Amino acid sequence: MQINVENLSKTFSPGMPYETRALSDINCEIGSGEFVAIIGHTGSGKTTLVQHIAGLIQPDEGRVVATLDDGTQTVISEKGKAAFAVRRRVGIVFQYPEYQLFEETVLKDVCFGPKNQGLDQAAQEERAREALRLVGLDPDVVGESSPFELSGGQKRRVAIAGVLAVDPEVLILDEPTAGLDPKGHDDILDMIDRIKDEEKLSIILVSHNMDDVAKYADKVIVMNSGTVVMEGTPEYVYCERGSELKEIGLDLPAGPAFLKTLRDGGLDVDIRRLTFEDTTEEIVKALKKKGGKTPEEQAEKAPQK
Amino acid sequence: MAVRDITLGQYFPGESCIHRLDPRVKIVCALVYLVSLFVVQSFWAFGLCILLLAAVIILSGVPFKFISKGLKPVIFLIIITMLINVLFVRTGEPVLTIGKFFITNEGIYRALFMGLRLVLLIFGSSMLTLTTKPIELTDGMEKLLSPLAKIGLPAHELAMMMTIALRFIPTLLDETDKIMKAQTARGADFENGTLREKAKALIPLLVPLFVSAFRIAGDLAMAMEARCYHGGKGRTRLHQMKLGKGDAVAIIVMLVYLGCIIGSRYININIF
Repeated sequence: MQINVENLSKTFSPGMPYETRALSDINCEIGSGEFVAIIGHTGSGKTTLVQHIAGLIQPDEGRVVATLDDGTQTVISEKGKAAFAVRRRVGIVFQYPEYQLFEETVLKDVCFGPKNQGLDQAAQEERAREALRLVGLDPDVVGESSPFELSGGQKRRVAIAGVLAVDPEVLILDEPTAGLDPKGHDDILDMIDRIKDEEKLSIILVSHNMDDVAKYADKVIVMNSGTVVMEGTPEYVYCERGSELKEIGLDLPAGPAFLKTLRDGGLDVDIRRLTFEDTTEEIVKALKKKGGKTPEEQAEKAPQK
Repeated sequence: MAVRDITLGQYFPGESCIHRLDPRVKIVCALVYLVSLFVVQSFWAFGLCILLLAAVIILSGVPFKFISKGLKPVIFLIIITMLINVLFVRTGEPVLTIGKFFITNEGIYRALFMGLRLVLLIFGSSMLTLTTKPIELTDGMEKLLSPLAKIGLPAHELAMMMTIALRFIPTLLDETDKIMKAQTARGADFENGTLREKAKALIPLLVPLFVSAFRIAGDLAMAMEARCYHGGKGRTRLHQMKLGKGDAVAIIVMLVYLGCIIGSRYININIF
């Protein structure tokens, strides 16, 4: 399922002193099976944009259109309309999703979505078990426990499973790793990447972490005060337009940021390296060019006693 | 979102002379005004109430659209009150008769009277909360109640409870909004269905909301204790309240108004 956002604008509390223009004239595209990251400051409109894509709020102008795999088009949201049917094809995991858990048992909670879709008991449970397995939880172990007894990371997995159980084609995650420890953080993102491939989902990730974006995303949408200022591959956004990114107060991922410092310090490096491994390789290459030696080479050359 | 439309108890930022009045004066004036609405017995005296309210609204610079939004949640109540008056007042001359059923002119008169009184009550109290920051409001109340502390009334604690309650209205509204959206995304339906279904649909909203409320309350209690909060004894204030010239004017205006209203009970100008 492909999603197109067309000329989307939204103002909150119009006519009130708290009037805020959250989005103005947004255009972007989320392709089928793509991993798209949306980055931007707090208050730049990221969350508002994804809520439109999920069909939860109605815009003042413009619309969000979904093109299904068979070519038919459906409007997800436009003025006066937020589509209920398409909503189910787009799953959204909010910030701190564990706060939406409410049932007595984990399994029942994950069943909530399928139940609302009108599936029978057996089908609900099957979906729920499958969703729990996808997020790396064993339904036989945690299924009957209360969601409030679990650890923070597990609660979050259950909440994500609750959304996956709706069987969406597009999964939106609004800062899914907020408040997790580094291990939990990596686990969740690896899990999302795996689910994307297994279930052939499109992923929309709202994030503040540039390293995650560089590592996982196929495409990056950069937002600033309610508008899309850049859209492109991570290489394009971080390497070609890194300085503009800094101007609006966003950081580069650790790799390019470090390489840039080295280059400014006089080392001849190419800053267009996004991942940790590529960055290391680039530094080694540059140091070798300068006549540096790896520890092994140094050991070889060392005078024998 | 419907949950955002609640004006009662919301502050409208501004710098007008009404905003700048001492909160104690504003609270007392508002109380006097509300009481005066029950003292009034004739329509022409209501004119006086409306005049004062209009003056306050104009001076405060709060747009009328914003104030009238406060009516929305209670409009139903007002309509019912008016209907009951129209339908059940049996005194006076019948003006409309349908079979055995009749409506009297006094019924209509009383319905209008009650309706107007309720609308003015809402507007009057809204003006207090719209022009006074919640913190000022509770500070003012604490100060006004402090003489009663001598007879054992926990004035500070009451004021603190009010402050906290007011402070968390927007937080809880945001939380409600968020949980509603999250459950809607999972296919929950809060709008359609029978009353029974609607009530049942609230469970996925209320359980997480209560959990959040308790969590927030726990966090707040801890944060307050960490900053050595231990009740009102010996606490000093950041903002000392002082009565100014404007406050004196407000008090005089209010006294004159009160005099007129009480006087209105003895002067009978019958327009009907």
